[in-house]
Amino acid sequence: MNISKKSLALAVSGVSVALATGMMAQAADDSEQQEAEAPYQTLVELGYPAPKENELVHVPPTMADLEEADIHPELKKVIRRGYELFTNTQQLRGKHVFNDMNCSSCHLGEGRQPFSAPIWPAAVTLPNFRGKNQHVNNLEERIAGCFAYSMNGTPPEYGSDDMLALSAYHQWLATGAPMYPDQPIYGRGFPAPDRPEELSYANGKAVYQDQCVICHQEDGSGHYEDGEYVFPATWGDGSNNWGLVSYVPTQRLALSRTTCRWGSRYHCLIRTPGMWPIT
Amino acid sequence: MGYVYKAGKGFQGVHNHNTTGETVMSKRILSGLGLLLGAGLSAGSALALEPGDPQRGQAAAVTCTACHQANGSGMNIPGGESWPRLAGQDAGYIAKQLHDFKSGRRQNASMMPFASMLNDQQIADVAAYYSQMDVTPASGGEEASDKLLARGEQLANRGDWDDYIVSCSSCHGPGGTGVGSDFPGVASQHAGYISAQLHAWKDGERSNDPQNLMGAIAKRMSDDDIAAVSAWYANQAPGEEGGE
Ligand code: HEC
Ligand code: HEC
Ligand code: HEC
Ligand code: HEC
Repeated sequence: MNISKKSLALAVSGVSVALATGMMAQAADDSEQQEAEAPYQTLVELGYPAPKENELVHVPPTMADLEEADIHPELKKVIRRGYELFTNTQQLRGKHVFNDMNCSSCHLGEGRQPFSAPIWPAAVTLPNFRGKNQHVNNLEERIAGCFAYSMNGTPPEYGSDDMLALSAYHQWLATGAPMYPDQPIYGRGFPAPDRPEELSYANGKAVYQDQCVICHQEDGSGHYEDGEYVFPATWGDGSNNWGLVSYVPTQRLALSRTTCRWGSRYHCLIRTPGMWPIT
Repeated sequence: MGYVYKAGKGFQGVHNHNTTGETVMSKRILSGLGLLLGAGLSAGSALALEPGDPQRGQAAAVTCTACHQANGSGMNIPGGESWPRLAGQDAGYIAKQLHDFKSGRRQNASMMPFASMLNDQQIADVAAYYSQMDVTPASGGEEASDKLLARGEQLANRGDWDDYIVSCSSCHGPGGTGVGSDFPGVASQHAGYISAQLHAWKDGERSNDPQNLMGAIAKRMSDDDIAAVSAWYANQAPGEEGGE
C-alpha cells in the first residue's frame, strides 16, 4: 500500500490498513512501520470486533497532526476551538448546556474512538435524510440534535462561531475519508448490548453494589468537586436523563452489558457482565 | 537530608522538636521502636476501634520516619527503592494499604515488617497522623525532557485512546490530588515510587486495587509512558492545579 499525502481511508481486506496519514506528515520511513500494525489492534485485543472485509476503516487525525497540517492558520484556530468545545462543553453551561456532560463524555477519545459513536461519520454521510425527523439534515443540525437531547440544552445558532468551530472539528476528523461512502463504517455508533434472558432487579442491585458504588456512591449521587463531576450522578438533574430514558423504559437505574452505551469510558474498559436496564 | 519541614495542620506544637538532623532522628527511631513493640504486645486486637488519633499516631509512627521521614515526605531514591510520600494522603487509603501489607494482599519486603507491627488501632492512628500533614514536594522529575513531560501531561489529563488508556485524572481527580479513600493522590509523589507501582501492576506484582481498576490501565502502558507520567506527576508541586 502506497500511503501518499492524499491517500486515506480505504476499504480493508482482511486486517490491512487505512491510515489517515495525510496529516501526520511523517517521514516515509515511518509509514512502513505504521502499515505493519493494524489500526485498532488494541481494541480488538480488548474484545471488540475486528474490521470486516468490506468495512470502511478510518483513523482520524489527532490534534498533534493538526499542528503539523498544511492548512491555513485561521482554520487551525477554528478547529482547535471546536476541539475545546467538544472536550469541555461545560464552558457553554447555562447558555447551551444544562447538564454535567461534555460531548466527549459520550463520544470517547475526543470523538475519535470506534464503538463510542465516533463523530467523523456524520461529516461524510450528511446531508442526508433522517427518519427520526423526516427531512434532510446537515452536519450542523446533527450537532444541534446532540445539544438538545444529550446536553439537555439549546444548540448554538446555525452559522455561529461556536457551531462553525464544532463542525470544522468534525470535518477535520473525517480528513481523508470518502464522502458518501458506499461501505459500512467500522465502529460507527455504540454497540447494542445483548439483552439478558432474565431481568432481575436483585441482580442489578448486587452488581451495582459490587462494581459501581466505588465511583457513583451507594445512592447514585456520584462525586463532585467544585461543581464539576469526577464521577457523575447516575440519575437526577445533572445526568443525561434523556439518553438514559431513551434506552431505559423506566427512570430507574441504567445498567447495561457494556455500559459504554451510556458513554462512560470506564464502563467500556470495565466491561460489566450481565447488566441491563431494569425497573 | 534537606527537606522543608511543615507541621501538620492543627498540631504544630507537638512536634516542633523534630525538625531535621539525622542523629536526632535515629534516636527517635530507636526509642520509637521500643515503644511500638511494647504497645503491640500489650494492646489486644480485640479492643473496639476508636477513630484515628493523630497524636497517638505520631507515637506509633516513630519507626516509620527512617524511610518516610519526619514530615512524611518519603524520598525519591534513583536506582533504588523509593519511599513514598505519605504526608497529606487520605487516611482511609493509608489504612487500607497498611492492612493490605499486613495480610499479604500487597507485598513488599521493606514495608511488610513495619505494617505487621501495627495493630488495627495503631493503623487508624498513623493514618490519621499522616493524612493531616501538608503535602510535600516530590523529586525524580527534574531531569525529564519537555517532550517526555508533554506526553506525561497528556496521559495524566487526557489519556491516550489509541492505546485505550483513560486519563489518570478521571480517577485520581483533577490535578491528580486524589478522590475519597479509594483513589489516592498521585500528584507530588516521587517519580521513582509512581514508576515502581505502575511497573508492579503491569508485571502482576501489585494487585490489591479494587476491581482491577488500576491494573487494567497499567497493563496498557509502555515503559516510556510510565516514565513520562511519573515525571510529570512528580513535578506537580503541592497546591498547584495539575490541570490545564
Ligand atoms: C449522553 C451522551 C451524548 C452526549 C453528551 C453527546 N452525544 Fe452525540 N451522540 C450520542 C448518541 C447515543 C448518538 C447516536 C449514536 C448511534 O447511532 O449509535 C450520537 C450521535 C452523534 C453524532 C452522529 C454520529 C454518526 O455516526 O453519524 C454526532 C455528529 C454527535 N453525536 C455529535 C455530538 C456533539 C457535537 C455533542 C456535544 C455538543 C454530543 N454529540 C454529545 C450521545 C451523546
Ligand atoms: C472508575 C469509576 C467508575 C465506575 C467503577 C463506574 N462508573 Fe459509571 N461513570 C463514571 C464516569 C467518570 C462517568 C462519566 C462519563 C465520562 O466522563 O466518561 C460515568 C457515567 C455513568 C453513567 C451516565 C451518567 C449520566 O450522567 O448520564 C451511568 C448511568 C453509569 N456511569 C453507570 C455505572 C454503572 C451501572 C456502573 C457499574 C457497573 C458504573 N457506572 C461504574 C465512572 C465510573
Ligand atoms: C525500611 C523503610 C520503611 C519503613 C521503616 C517504613 N516503610 Fe512504609 N514503605 C516503604 C516502602 C519501600 C514502601 C513502598 C512499598 C511498595 O513498593 O509496595 C512503603 C509504603 C508504605 C505505604 C503505602 C503508601 C502508598 O502510597 O500506597 C504506607 C501507608 C506506609 N509505607 C506506611 C508506613 C508506616 C506507617 C511505617 C511505620 C510503622 C512505615 N511505612 C515504615 C518503606 C518503609
Ligand atoms: C479507573 C480508575 C483509575 C485510573 C484511570 C487510574 N488509576 Fe491509578 N489507581 C486507581 C486506584 C483505585 C488505585 C488504588 C489502588 C489500591 O487501593 O491499592 C490507584 C493507585 C495508583 C497508584 C499507587 C498510589 C500509591 O500511593 O501507591 C499510582 C502511582 C497510580 N494509581 C497512578 C496512576 C496513573 C499514572 C494513571 C494514569 C496513567 C492512573 N493511575 C489511572 C485507579 C485508577
